[in-house]
Amino acid sequence: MPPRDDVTAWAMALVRRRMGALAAVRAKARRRWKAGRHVHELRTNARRLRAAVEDLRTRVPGAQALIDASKELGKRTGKVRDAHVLIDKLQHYRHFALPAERSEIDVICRDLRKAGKAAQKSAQAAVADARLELRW
Amino acid sequence: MKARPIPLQDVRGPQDAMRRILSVRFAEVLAQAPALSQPRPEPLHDLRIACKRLRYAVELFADALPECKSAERRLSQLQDELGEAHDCDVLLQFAKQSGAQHLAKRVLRDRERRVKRAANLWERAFARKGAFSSLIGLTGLGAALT
Repeated sequence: MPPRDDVTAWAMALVRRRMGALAAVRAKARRRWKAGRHVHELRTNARRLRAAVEDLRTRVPGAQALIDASKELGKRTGKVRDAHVLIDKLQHYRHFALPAERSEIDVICRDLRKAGKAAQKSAQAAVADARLELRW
Repeated sequence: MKARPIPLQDVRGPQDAMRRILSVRFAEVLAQAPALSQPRPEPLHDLRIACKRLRYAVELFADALPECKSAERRLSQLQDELGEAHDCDVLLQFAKQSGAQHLAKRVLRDRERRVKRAANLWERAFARKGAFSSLIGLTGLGAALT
């Protein structure tokens, strides 16, 4: 293996830091799953890692595998997060709404809760999925 | 919107690499900025993604470039407003599907307000000594907007 230059060592150190942050959130989520909090943290950390690898990809070994794994993690946790965010927003609107609008909001909230619940398993499985462990 | 690839094979050191990465990501944001004056969801979504990429890059280099802190903060604010506008676009689809007319009106008003706020944040970032001054100085881009 050729010796690493300054830029490659620097790039790998930055990516390693992002990988460490994601691994820590993942470990926390595995110990005690709280969808509302962990899904958000997982997704933002996965996105930060992906962005770092995309920026530095010509200097990072195994870049595509890291991008694919963090993308997959984001995809499998997306529906739960969407449901949470949209329900929160709708609840905020509901506070100011008149009865006719409240009924409309309640119908959509009910559908979103169902969708969020259905997506929970997939999100939890992604956290536990060993294939999505990020390693060098 | 796919991230533009950044060739770093020929950079002279980390400082040079950071400048190149920030230039590419800042250029992506500048290219998408006209979305702030359009009502369509897709260009606004692309701008949000471009802002996110630039913010993460600025964040990644925060230790080496503390002068970019105000840019990072502004990008985070922009992302919040654009994120809310995006949520409005998603909710609007739900509202249309279920015939929720009252809700649709509220969502549209909210969206309009968020985009206006984002446009305001964007404009002020280019003022003299504005939040993007450090990025403009570092990359040589966006000076025409000041």
